[in-house]
Amino acid sequence: MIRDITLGQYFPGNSPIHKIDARAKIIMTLILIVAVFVASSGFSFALLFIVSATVFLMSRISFKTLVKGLKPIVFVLIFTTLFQIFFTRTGTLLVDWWIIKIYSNGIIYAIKMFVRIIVLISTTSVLVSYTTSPIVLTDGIEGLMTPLAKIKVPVHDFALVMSIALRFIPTLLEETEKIMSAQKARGTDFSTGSLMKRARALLAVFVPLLASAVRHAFELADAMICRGYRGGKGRTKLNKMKFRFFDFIWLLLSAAVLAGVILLNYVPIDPLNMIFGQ
Amino acid sequence: MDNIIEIKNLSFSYKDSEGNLHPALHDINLNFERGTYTAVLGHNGSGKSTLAKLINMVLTREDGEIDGSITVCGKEVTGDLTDDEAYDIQCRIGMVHQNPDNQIVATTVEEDIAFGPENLGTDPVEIRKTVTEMLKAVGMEGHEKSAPHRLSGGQKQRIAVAGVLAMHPECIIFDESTAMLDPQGREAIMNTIENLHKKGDVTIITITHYMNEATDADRVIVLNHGEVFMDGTPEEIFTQVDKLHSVSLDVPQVTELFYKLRQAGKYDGELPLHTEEGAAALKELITRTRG
Amino acid sequence: MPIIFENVSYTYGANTPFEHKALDKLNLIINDNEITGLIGQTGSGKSTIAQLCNGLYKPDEGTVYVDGVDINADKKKKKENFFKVGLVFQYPEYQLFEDTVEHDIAYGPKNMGLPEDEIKRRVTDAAAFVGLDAHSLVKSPFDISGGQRRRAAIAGIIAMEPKYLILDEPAAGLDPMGRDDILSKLKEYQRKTGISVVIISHSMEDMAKYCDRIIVLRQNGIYKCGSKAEIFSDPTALREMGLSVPQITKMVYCAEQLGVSFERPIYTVDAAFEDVMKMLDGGDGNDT
Repeated sequence: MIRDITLGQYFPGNSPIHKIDARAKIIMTLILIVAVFVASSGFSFALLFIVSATVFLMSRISFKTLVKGLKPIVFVLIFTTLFQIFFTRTGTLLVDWWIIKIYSNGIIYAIKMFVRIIVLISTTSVLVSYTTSPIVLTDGIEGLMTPLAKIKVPVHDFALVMSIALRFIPTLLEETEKIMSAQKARGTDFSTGSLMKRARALLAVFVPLLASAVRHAFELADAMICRGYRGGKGRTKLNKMKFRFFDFIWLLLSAAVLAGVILLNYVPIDPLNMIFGQ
Repeated sequence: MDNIIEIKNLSFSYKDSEGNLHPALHDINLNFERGTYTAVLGHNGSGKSTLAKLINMVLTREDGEIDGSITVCGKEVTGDLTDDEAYDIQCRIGMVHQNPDNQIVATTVEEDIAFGPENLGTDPVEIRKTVTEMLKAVGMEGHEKSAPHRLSGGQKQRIAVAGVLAMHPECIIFDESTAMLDPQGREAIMNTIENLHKKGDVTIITITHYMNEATDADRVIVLNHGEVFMDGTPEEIFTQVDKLHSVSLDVPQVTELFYKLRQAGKYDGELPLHTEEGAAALKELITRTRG
Repeated sequence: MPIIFENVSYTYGANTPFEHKALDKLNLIINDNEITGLIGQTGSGKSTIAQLCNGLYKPDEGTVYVDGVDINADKKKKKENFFKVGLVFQYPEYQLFEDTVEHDIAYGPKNMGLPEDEIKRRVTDAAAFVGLDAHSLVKSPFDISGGQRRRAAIAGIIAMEPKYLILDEPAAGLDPMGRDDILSKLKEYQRKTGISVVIISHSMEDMAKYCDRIIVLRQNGIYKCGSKAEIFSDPTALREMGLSVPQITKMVYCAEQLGVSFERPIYTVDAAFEDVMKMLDGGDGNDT
């Protein structure tokens, strides 16, 4: 059944990475993203690669899962890498055959771009989507945005909308499946026929689904009022997020990685340049 | 007598988008005594849900025309209330609705039960205690971290009841809360209601069209076409078989059997409502006839 | 010809952590020209059976025969099965989507590719059967009452004039008047057309009142199938399975414990009345 699809790509677990506070994880991810874009020397890329590999190993997510997660960007990855290799025209000429000219910088840029994308995707997915449940993530985002409430950003409302959406996605998926079956039983054909015909077939699902969503919304609003909801003011929370000592250490480590990357950029020798003979 | 709800000469008409009025309730006079268990019976369109929605102010003067008055916990809710006063009344009157899916707000059971107390600004330690207590009250211990969409209809509805209980209301209105459930779910909810009533600290009003869910109440009110058609104990109500049939409402099958026997001139005792009473009356009837 | 299930198994979410075997080697016959009641606890596979009958689900194992033909043998005829075995889902009113009730009822027949005048006749007939008047036919399905919406949705399936009509809880959530109205209309329809009707329900009272034959399901299998008398002969077993027996059956059971014995299983008030009258008139009721 549709409702069995796991939301997002969260894999429940008990690894040290799972245990990091969601707010810390979001900040760590941001720091690492900055680090990825700041990195320029071969040493910095090596450091980033080692860090992301360590985070991945600690999360106890299977390698297969990680590869699966990278699948959608394989095309982008190959395209950008090849683009760098064939269209960079600086550095020493390494290959000159027919119309193909490959320069040393092309190879170096390609490697850097490759590592950049891999590190970026793997750390964000390991830190955020694989090891943080959507619910906790929403709380984390709310937690980080709380200061913005002071300048009248409706942080609480935003978080509530997110959380209700998460709550109702499985319900609506189930309903979609039911309505589709019901319309199929009336002879609706979703897979063949002209574009017009198929659009019409989808209408038979979309209209009832919309009606149902509206009904959910109105009844839920009533129920929420009955349970004393009147906005975020004066609300408490059952599960307060706790920022522990370890979360602090993790943040320091990420900051250290960023600092390391910046420092390594200034090392006068670059291993990549040495390998490709410059 | 301490009445938690007093309804005087209440009439209500819905206003549609074109401003036309559709009468729903007509000249209702009812008092609900604190700590009692009342079942309101009636068909769809008899006005029973409208009445509930007026009591806890889901329906207001914006939705239609109100005549007469409803007083809840000493405050006239049909009159002019400040926002805070209205909010206070709403928190004292809990409401369990029909569709369990549309009452559950949060993504885990415990957070859903906590939703009400969180709105009230209760201390988290206190909320945790309430959550545990309420899960126990509805027999759903151990489901704290469950995702609502993985529960059965009856379980979801019990979570909804726990969520309402967590606000410590003085009165709970069950608005056709069993209509979408299977027999097990229905029984679980009815047992929960029964247990709440036994404890006695909360006033219970159930709105239903299943007559067998009304036989255990202290009092049964039958609404028809927006008017109070009958009002009395279950015994008084369900033994008036003709009157109930005249508005196409059922009576318990046992009552119906003895009613038929009475019409055939074979029985002149009181009409029983429950299974055991019926069996005993039958035994006695047969023994007596045989001499 | 009947609908026959031969060793049918069906599993939801196979190879996921949520795998759930709904049916395990089920054998089942749904007879022609009668109303079959399908009853069982939530999760006993009632709705699964319904969707296997018209080919929405394909069995993992075993075969479903409709009119003597394996319905999953020929993929091209999939659509035909939908028209042959009409399926009314739970809360079918939530599938209405056309601008008017009339158009919505015509949706199925249109998908069958019928000529315009035939569609018109079927819509008129189906609407008459479920008791929808001309006035509500031109309204939007979102503007009529809940009970009328339910009828419109059922009419949408009836208008396809299926040989078999399966209804999943057709009376769920309706008030007693609406419930009796829908169920007696269905019975009338069955008697008039002679098709085979399957009603899935939780209510033993309704089953006793409207069905000819009852199939009781328990977790992934059949507990019992047979006439009403056969089914209600063992109320204790039914109760243990979490099914509610009619109150009158419970009372008779109670009375028998007190020594009042009835000659036959009782599941309607009328039958109880007849038997008690016989006992009182000095018949052969053997009171101890």
